[in-house]
Amino acid sequence: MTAVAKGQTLLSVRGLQMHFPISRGGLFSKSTSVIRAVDGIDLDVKSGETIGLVGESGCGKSTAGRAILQLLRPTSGTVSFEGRELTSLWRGKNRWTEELRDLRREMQMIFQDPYASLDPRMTVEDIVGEPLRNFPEALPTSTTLRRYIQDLLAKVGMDPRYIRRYPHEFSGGQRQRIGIARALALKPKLIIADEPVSALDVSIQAQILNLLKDLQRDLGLTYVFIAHDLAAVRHISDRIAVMYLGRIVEVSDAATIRAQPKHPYTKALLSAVPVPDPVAERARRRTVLTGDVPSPLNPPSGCPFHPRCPERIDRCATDVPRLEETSPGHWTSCHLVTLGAPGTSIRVATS
Amino acid sequence: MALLEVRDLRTYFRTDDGVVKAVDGVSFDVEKGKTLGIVGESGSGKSVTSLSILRLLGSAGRVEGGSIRFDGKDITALPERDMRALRGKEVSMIFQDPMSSLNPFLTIERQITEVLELHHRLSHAAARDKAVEWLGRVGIPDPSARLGQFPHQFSGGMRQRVMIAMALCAGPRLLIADEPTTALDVTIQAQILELIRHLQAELSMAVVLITHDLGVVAGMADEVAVMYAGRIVEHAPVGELYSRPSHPYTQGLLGSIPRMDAVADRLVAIPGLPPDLSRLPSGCPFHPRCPKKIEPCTREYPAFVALSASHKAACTEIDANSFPLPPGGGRGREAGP
Repeated sequence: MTAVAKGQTLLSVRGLQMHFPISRGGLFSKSTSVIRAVDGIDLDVKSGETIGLVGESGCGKSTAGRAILQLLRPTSGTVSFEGRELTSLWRGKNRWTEELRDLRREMQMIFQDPYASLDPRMTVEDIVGEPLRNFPEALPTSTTLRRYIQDLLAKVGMDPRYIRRYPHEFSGGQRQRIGIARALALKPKLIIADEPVSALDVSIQAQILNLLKDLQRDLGLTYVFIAHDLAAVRHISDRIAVMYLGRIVEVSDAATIRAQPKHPYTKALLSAVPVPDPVAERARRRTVLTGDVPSPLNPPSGCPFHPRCPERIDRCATDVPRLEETSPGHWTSCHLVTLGAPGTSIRVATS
Repeated sequence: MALLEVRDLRTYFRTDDGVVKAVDGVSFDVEKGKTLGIVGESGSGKSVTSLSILRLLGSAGRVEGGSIRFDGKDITALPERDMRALRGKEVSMIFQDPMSSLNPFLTIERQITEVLELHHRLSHAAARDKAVEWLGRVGIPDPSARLGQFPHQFSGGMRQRVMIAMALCAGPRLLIADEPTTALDVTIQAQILELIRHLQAELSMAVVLITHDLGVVAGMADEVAVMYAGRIVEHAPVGELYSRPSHPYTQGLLGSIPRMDAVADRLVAIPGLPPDLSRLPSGCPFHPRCPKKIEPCTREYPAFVALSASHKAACTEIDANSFPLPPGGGRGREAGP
C-alpha cells in the first residue's frame, strides 16, 4: 500500500455522477426517468484534513458519500484513493473485486442514526469486532480480539466493561461512540461521517464533535464530514464544499466560506443559520430565499439555483456554470462570480 | 395581568418503570403580544408543558398539580366542552412535523374550513373564502388551486405554512409553537420564522416557542426559560440570558453549540448524559454533570436566586457564593419551584 504523506491528496473525485432510474406510469406503459442525485462533482481531499460537505436535504451529499465509498456504484466519474481508481474495481453490476474489498478497509463510514445503524441483536463486542471477522489479518498479533475491542471502546470514551451489552442499553450519544469504534476497528485512513451528530441533543453533539477532533489528532485521520448544520461543519472542517441539487457550488477553506462567500446560495445559507446571540441575530440582514429546492428528477435548466437566486442574470437560465478557481484555493460555480472577476486567471476544475 | 399564567405545574406519567415526573413544578407568565422561548434538550419537559396547557396529554399523562390561568381565568378545571372552544380559537398550537399533524385523507380546504366553521360559525362558502385568504397570507402561491389538494402534495415548508394558516385563521391570542422548524431545512426555517414573526406583529399575538435551538430563540424570544429534567433552571430576558448565563447548565448549553461567528478549537461539552426521569438523582438533578457542584447540591433541590428583577436561576452554588449586585435589581431569594 502506498503511503500518502500528510497534506498530499488522499482522495480524488472527478465528474462523479449518481443517477437513479425510476419507472413511472403503469405496468405496460413504462417510461423511465432519472433522478440526478449527484450530477458531476469534483473534489480533492488531502491527507489529514477535514472537508465538510454541506447542503440541504436532497442536495445529494449523502449519496455522494456513499458513491465515494462504493456503497453505490457510481453512474460515471472516477474516485481515486491513494492513487488507485475504485470505480473500475467492480465485478459485474453489483459485486466488488477482492482488490476493492481490501482497499475499502482504509475507508470507513459513520452513519447518522445511531438507532438504526447498530444491529439490536448483536452485543457491543460483536458490533465493534465484526470488521475484524471480515479482515482477521487486521488484528495486531500482540493482542487478543477482546482486548483490541476493549481498547477501541476506551479510545471512544466508553467503559470497556460494556462489551456484553446490547445497543438498546445505551443512549444516542453512546451508540454513536459504538459506531465510531466500529469505524476505527480496521485502522482506516479516511472516514466519511454522514450527519454523525444531527440525531443527538446539543450537549451530546459537543461531546461527539470533540471526540472526532481528538481521534483525528491522535490517529491522523482524514474526514469527509457530511452535514446540513453549517455551524457544526464550520467548527470541525478545514475546508467546506457547499452542495446544491447534486453539484458542488462552492469550495474554500472554512474561514473564507464564512467571511467571504461568493456563491449566492452560500450567502443565503449563511444568512439563514441562526446565531445564538440576540444582538447579532436581530441586527443582521437576512437573505430569505423564496421557494423550495427543486426536484432532482426535473432540475432547472442552466444553473440549478437560478429559479431561487436573488442575483440571477439571463445567462443563468441557459448555461450551466462550471466550478472554477476564482481566487487561490476558492472554487465557485457561478456566472456572476466568473464574469465579475476578469482580472483573475481562471483554471477549470475538471481534469 | 399576564395573558397566560402557569403556576407550579406538575405533569406525571405512570409507566412500568414507575412515576415519571415529566414536568415538576413549572411556573411562568406570558404577556400579551410577547414571545416566551422554552429551551431544553429531549426529556426536559418542554413539550409536555405545552401539551399540559392545552390538555392534549395522552392517557398515560396527568396534570397532578398547579394552575394554568388564561386571560385571568383558571382553565385547569375547565370542562372538556369549554376547553374545545378555547383550543384553536383562543390558544392554537403548531407542531414539529406537519406531515403527521395534518390528516392525510382530507383536503387542505376541509382541514382549514373546519376550524372556521367550528369557531366562527361561518358558512362553508365564507369559510372557503377565508381559507383562500389565509393560504395567501402564509405565502402559498396560487391558493385557490392549492385548496383542493392533499397534504402529500405539499413540500415540508409548505405544509408548515398550511399548519400555520390553520392555527391562526381563527385569530388566537396565544400560539404555542413546538419545534416548528426542526424538521425543515435551514433556508426554509428562515422563511417560516420570518412568517411567524410577521403574523405575530400583525395579530399582536403571544407566542410560546418551544425549541432546542438556542439560535432560533435568540432571534425570536423576548424572554427565555431553560428547562432541565422537568423544571425551569433559569429564566431571563433574552439579552441577559445570552450575555450573563448564570445556571451552569445554561452555560454548558451555550458552550456546547458550534457557532458561525466565533471559532473555538474545542467545544465546552457538558459531561455525562441527561438523567433518566424515572430515576432522578437526589438534590439538584444536574449535579452529576455540574462542574460547579458543592456539597448541598447532592441533598436539596435549589431555590431560585434572583439575579435581577427579571432574571432568576435555580442553583445552590450561585446562592452560596456572592456575586456583584446588578444595577437596579436587588439580590434575593424566591420560593423554590
